[in-house]
Amino acid sequence: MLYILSRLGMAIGVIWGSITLVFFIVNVLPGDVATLLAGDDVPTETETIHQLREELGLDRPLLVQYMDYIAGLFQGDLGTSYANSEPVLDRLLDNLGPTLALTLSSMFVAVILGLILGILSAVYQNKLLDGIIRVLSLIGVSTPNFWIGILLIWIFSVQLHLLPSIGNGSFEQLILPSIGLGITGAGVITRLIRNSILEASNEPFIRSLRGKGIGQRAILLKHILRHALIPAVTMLGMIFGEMLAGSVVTETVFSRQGLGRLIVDAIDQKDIPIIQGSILFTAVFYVCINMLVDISYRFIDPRIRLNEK
Amino acid sequence: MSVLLEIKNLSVSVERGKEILPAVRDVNLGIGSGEIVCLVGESGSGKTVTSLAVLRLIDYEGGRITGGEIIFHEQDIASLAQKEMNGIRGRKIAMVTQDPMTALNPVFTIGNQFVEVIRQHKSVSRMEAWEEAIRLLEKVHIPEPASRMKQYPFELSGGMLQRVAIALALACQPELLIVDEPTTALDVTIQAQILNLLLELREQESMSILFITHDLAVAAEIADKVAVMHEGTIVEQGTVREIFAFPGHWYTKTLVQSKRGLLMGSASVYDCQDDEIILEAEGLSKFYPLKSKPFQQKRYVQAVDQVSLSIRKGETLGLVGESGSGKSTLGKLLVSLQKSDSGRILYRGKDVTGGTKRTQKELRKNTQVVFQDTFSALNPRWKVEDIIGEPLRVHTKLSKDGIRERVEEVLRLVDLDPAFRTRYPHEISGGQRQRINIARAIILHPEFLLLDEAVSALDLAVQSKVIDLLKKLQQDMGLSYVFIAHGLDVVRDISHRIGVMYLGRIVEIAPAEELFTKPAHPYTKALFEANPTIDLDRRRKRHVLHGEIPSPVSPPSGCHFHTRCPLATEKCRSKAPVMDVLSEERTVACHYPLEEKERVELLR
Repeated sequence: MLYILSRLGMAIGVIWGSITLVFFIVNVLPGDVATLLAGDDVPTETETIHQLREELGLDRPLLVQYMDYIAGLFQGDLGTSYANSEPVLDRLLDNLGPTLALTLSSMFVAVILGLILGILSAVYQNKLLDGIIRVLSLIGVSTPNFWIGILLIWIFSVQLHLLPSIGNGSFEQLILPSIGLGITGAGVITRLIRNSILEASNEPFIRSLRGKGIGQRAILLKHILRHALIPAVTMLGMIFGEMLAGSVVTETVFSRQGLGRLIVDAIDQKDIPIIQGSILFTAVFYVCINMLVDISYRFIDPRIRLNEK
Repeated sequence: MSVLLEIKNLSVSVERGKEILPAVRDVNLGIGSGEIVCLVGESGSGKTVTSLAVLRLIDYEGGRITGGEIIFHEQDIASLAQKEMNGIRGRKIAMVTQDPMTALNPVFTIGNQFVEVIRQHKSVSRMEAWEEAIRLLEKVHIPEPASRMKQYPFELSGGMLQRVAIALALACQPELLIVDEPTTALDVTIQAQILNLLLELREQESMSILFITHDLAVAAEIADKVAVMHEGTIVEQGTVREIFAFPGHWYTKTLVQSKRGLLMGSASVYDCQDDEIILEAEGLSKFYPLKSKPFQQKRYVQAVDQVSLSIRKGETLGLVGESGSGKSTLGKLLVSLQKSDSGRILYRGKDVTGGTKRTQKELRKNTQVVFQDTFSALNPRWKVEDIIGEPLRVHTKLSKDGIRERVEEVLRLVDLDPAFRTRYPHEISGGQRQRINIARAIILHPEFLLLDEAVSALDLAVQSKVIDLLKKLQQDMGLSYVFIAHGLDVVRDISHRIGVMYLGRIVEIAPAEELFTKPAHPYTKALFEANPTIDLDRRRKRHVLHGEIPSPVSPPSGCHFHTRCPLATEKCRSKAPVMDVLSEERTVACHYPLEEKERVELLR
């Protein structure tokens, strides 16, 4: 319990840190919001622009703006978008669904593919299948997401007409992007699982299990795999972070709605409240997933759980 | 007696990297029913490979049976399919592996592991299997078996785990039990308990045991028949009496002699007459804080508790005691590798506790250490000459040629060819690596060496050579040693005086021979009684010390030993005994030290 509380405290710290960092970075970047908003035909430093600034509260000192923003957060107010005066929260919630669907299904692809290929690769160690899987996973790890995305579109949409290439809403539209985004993670997990299975197979207790007549399959699936999962679970948290970052590119390639696209557009327009809101959301996700990872260790490995008592 | 298992002309090859090397050649060995056969040999002699071949586990470890037969119940195990083997493994032939700490899956409870094995071989329900497991744990004398079932392996001590592993192997009443170095990782007291347990189980279950060990004395304690292995073949086999009384093969002779040599060695130890005191400890204490929850009283492990001792020039002080008794911590305090929490250390009468950087550096120069693990003590990416020469670069201003000269000189001192200086640690054997460690320790002409389990990882023959070297160096350079080891025979061989430690306190200090022949503290006596010996006339059902060393977090009140002491009274429970001078050179901390007559009788 104490452990979970302390993790929670740390998580809040991380979120606060990232909000603060982003707030100051976007605000010191060159480019004036009011000028941008007013449009190209309004000359700089006119009455209109001054008025606009006052309306947005941009004339106040940065620190006041910051305190104001934080105070707003506590009331669930993430500000309003500069671009279209909609509440930021609404915009974010609109875009949250598609991104969540994308990252979670990519994660699914990564875990299932990684697990199966990793186990096969370890079981057929140094055989032909192992060689093929190792080459594939290396390709998966080293090829950029957008390139895989383009390749998938070209093969499955343009050449084979099997799946739609753009848009979101239906399940079919989710397939290609999640493979595109999930393949890097699958490569990482494959390699990790293979190595940790091979390592766990050398544990002395595996020899004694065999000595007790336990079958090869039970040893692999029950004993070795559980050991091999511990490092893989750590990796999951990191892979999730990469997927959130990757969704920016993937959503662009597949013309999908989502947080990634929202951030890209907001940066273009210097729509600071949207940028901050998206980063806040992303940070919260990332922290939550990693907290889940930390807590799940305690279920996988009793040594961690009981050492705290 | 009918023959249960017969190995005929067995040969096994094992893959090592790209090569396939013969590991076992033409082994012939029969195990009668109800018989205990010991397979004795040094590491790498093929003992474990032979046992893995009997279970056909060798197939999983890059090995292959290249010839011969293993006849078990008129079946040739060597030619069975792995699937058929699963019906024999665990059911007819069971195995207990060396290190109990790693023999069980750390992420499952003890109970789960029992249930899995029992249900693999018998069609019973989970509940029935659970009940059966509790009965098995009772059979190996595990206290509170029902609550142990819900614990994880890392929550139990090594001795308890070995009992669990044995109980697990007994799950299906096997006819043959293969135990591979089951006591090597354990203290002598626990070793004696496990050996007694195995003898008891052999009677109860009427099973045969193939016992693999590197320790001749353990073999002498337990075996009916002994087979000596050397470089992949059995060089000699016979009844235990034949082997130890009339060893035939030269290799067996060397083994038996080096073991006996240890026992009479003390006489040949350089007699130290010097009364000059090099190092002294006064009321030395060290405790480690434990992780604790907030609002809870902080708890400590009392690793070393008010220890006072002195070491003279040219003298070896041995330290013995079960693991957890604080030997290693005391050693580290003596050479200031750790800071004591109270007490003083005097080096040549000068207080060096704490001290400035300069006095520390001076102290380091004169007090050196050699540890157990020969490999991890050496930087694997450095050549031998850089490793040995490093202290010179730190403490002296010698030129490159000067350093090389000294390195070659010191290599000759430890009986190594000076050509070794261009090699890397992984290119040389364990015994040679320990010589390198010793060479590095003596290159600055120190006065004091801490030898913490310095020979424990070496094979017997190598061990005795390194001991000889240490004795020679002591004589030539007037070195003083503190020698820490769990092997009592080695300590007896090299030490002038021996200190016995129990839960952070020294309970007795005496000259080596006197301590062994006339121990005054009941703990000392119990420790030595547990020590296996190749003297077959002393082989008997021993008075084994019950229980295990208590937790140093909450040590028993009064005399720490009272919970296990056969002589304990109310006084022992309430009042801690102080160090009492018995005679010159002898002190003991006990309310009821054993009388001279009693000591001799008990140790007969």
